[in-house]
Amino acid sequence: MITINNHSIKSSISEMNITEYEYVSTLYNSKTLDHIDKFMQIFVYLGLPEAVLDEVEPEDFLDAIDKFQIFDEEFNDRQPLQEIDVNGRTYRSYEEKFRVKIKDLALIESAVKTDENNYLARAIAIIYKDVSLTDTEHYTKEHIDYKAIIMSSLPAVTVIPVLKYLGEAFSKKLKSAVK
Amino acid sequence: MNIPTYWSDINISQLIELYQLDSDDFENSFELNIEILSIVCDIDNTNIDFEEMDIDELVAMLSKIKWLSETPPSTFKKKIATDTSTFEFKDLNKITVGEFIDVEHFKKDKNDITNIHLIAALLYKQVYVDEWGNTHYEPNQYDVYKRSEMFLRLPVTDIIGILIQYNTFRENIMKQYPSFFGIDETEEPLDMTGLTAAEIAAIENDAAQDKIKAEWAWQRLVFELAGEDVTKMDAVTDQPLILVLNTMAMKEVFKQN
Repeated sequence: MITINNHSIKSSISEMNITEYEYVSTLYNSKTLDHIDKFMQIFVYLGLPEAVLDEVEPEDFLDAIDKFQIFDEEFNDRQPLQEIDVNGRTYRSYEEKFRVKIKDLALIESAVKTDENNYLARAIAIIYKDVSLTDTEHYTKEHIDYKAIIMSSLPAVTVIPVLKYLGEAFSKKLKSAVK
Repeated sequence: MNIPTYWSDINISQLIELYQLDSDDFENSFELNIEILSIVCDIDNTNIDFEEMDIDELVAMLSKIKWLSETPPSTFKKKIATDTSTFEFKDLNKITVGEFIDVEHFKKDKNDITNIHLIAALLYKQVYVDEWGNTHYEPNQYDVYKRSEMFLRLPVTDIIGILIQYNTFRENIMKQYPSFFGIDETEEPLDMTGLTAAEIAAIENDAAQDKIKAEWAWQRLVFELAGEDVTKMDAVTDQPLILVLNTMAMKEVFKQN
């Protein structure tokens, strides 16, 4: 957490959930906002009252920016979790070794196409399957929609190793695709 | 699973299927590339569960068909032998008016590839050589659609080059006889500066009408040559195209003088 004029806000990936992380990342990577604007919007999104922005000293604001860290190398090297528990239900992504099958990659690609700034929770929902359901039940749209909502509040660190795998998978596909 | 390594390993039917794929019909590029693999490997999607594969397996297969991204070679066989007959690619200088019109019809709307088997059925003929060494082509009395089925099974490299061959011939014909096909190469593009909107609209309307006329130019030609008698059009369509065009050119010369 970082503190700005006595207001504490989340400042690292380990403190955010998936929805927060995705929204903050989108702002952070914006090509239209300038540096200060980005962080004004990020801090307000994370709970800083807008009025504080008029009061805070510039040095304190810049100091807060310096301390803000959503990209943490430590999480890049972690392996994706085999299982996650949400609301008493267990969701599993693999048996022996983490892999995402083509069917799931295709669904994730469709989710990215639908909204490239809001797909991570859906990607996790696709990859992590309820151990008590069949494949047919898992792949119904309504089930995935519901899971995406409940998984959006999972810790963002759940997503990082998966994101890395997806990035590599899509990159490989891009290089090898015929069309 | 046998993965083809070059254009010669897939047939015309597969080429047409690939050509007709539209990426907009697929929700994502994985589905599109899986469909491409299915067509090229000539397998039913349901027999191999591509969707259960992981990315490395799919990438390995896709990398083997990268050659599909390249333009096919412009090769074709001058003779094609089946169990019962041999077909030769017709000397295009001997193409008839009817054959020319039919090929143009099949090529319309950029359907060269989609209809290549039909074009091949028109341009490959059975031949015989008479006792004086003259080549005679079979008359156009066969069912082109039925004949075209055999070309669907041929390797792409056996006939794909006929399109370039025909297009080169066609360009030369258009250049030599532009007025018969509605093309006036001497006409300069019009300078529309200073014209009113109504005048520009009228000019554009005329240009659109000219374009339609150009598309019907060959039919107009046949109709005129048949003395505007529909019952005589067959006699015209059996004539060699070059002979007909030369005759028309001669008529134009005499008309002008």
